[in-house]
Amino acid sequence: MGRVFRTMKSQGSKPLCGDESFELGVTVYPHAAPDVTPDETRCIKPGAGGMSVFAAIKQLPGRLIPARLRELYPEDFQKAVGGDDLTIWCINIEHFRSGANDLMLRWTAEENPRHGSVEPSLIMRVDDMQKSLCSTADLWEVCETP
Amino acid sequence: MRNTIMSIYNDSSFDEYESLLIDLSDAIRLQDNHRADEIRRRMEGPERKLTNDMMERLDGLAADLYMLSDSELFERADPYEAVPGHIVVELRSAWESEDWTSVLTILRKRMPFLSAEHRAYLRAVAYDKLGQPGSAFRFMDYASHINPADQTYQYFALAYLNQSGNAESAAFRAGQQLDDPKSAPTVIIGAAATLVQTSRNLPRSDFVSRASRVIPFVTDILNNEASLSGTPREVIALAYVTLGFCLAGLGDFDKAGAAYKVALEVDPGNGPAQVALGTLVEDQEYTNSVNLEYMVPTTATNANLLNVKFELEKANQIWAEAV
Repeated sequence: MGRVFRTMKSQGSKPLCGDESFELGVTVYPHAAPDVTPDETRCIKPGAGGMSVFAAIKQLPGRLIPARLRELYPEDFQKAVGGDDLTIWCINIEHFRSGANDLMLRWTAEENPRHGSVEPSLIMRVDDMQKSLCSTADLWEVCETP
Repeated sequence: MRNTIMSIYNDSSFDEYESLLIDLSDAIRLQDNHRADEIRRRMEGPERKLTNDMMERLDGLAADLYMLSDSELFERADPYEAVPGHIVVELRSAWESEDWTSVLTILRKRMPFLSAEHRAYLRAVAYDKLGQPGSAFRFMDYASHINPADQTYQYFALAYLNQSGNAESAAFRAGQQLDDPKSAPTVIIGAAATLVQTSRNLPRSDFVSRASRVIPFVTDILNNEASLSGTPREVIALAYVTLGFCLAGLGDFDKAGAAYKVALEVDPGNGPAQVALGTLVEDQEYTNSVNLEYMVPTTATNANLLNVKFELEKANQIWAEAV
């Protein structure tokens, strides 16, 4: 079962939906580090960026691993410099099979083989994409074991 | 203008991420959560442009920087490596073959027989060789903090700070070392050379002010033969070259030329002294003023030659103590 990993804030037992960094959603231009840049009609196309995910927990950059996990897993998480209020979540990639939730997973293989992005599977308004992403909130699980 | 050397990746995103990572390490150490969160957000932009190799290097640095807050966690060495002699051989072999990435990887393993001071020193040199003087400075400064009596660390820390492009901080620190009565001749000479180097982009009047400040310190050291006992000839030559630069900058070309010639007597074939002497003649013939553009890289080259010599001596001492 393939899974992808993302570090996000929590709201209860789910990831927090939103359009800021560390939230379940995409950051939108003019955010300082935008995931997507909508066109003049506020639409985004497939293949033009999305919400970042990683193929394996060990592939998360140190910034995305809460520092509290260093003591628990010193062999794997020496590099952890992430905020302790963050949680590492994972989701089965089947949920992003093309078409499901109007979302799809694209691996940014050439630029960075460990990194992928969850993108719209068809041209859609950015607000609708945020809703689609947020609709997956129940499907994410806490995955903090290396 | 920064006179920094680029990392081996020659990539501005890498340099920006490294700098933010160092700031983040400081914020974590100071338990400034608000600042730490702000830095983490700023890291997102450059992070997207990093290759896997770059990310791996920077994740390693993230782990290494915990050393500065005495909270580093180590990987277990495998059974073969756990025998002290074996891992020292492995570390030394990586060092001597200049495989700096492997040096850093091995240093993340548990090696109780290697002191924190020596671990910090080895890390600093490895990061410097990989073109990351900003990181190198942090580890060398930490080694100096653990053992202030070893002035080699102070010498290197200043050199790395200067290389990292932070001329103002380097000049400030050099000034402190000049004024510290406990500074050894080598540290004073390094500080004097740094003050000259960091005047490159300053108005000429500032250079004149620094040259006037440096000359008495260097002259005192060179006039005291006893204090120079055991000082490498390259260091003494650097002192003469620095003195020559200062004198030329003040318009005393005869004395400057004499200083360069003494540098060549002390250390025959000393490249910087040869270049400085040639430049001095040209300057006198054509402009009657010393050319700072030539002066600074020449002094830096001399300082780098010294670094190699010191690194070798210090590393040999560390291997001997570890075994």
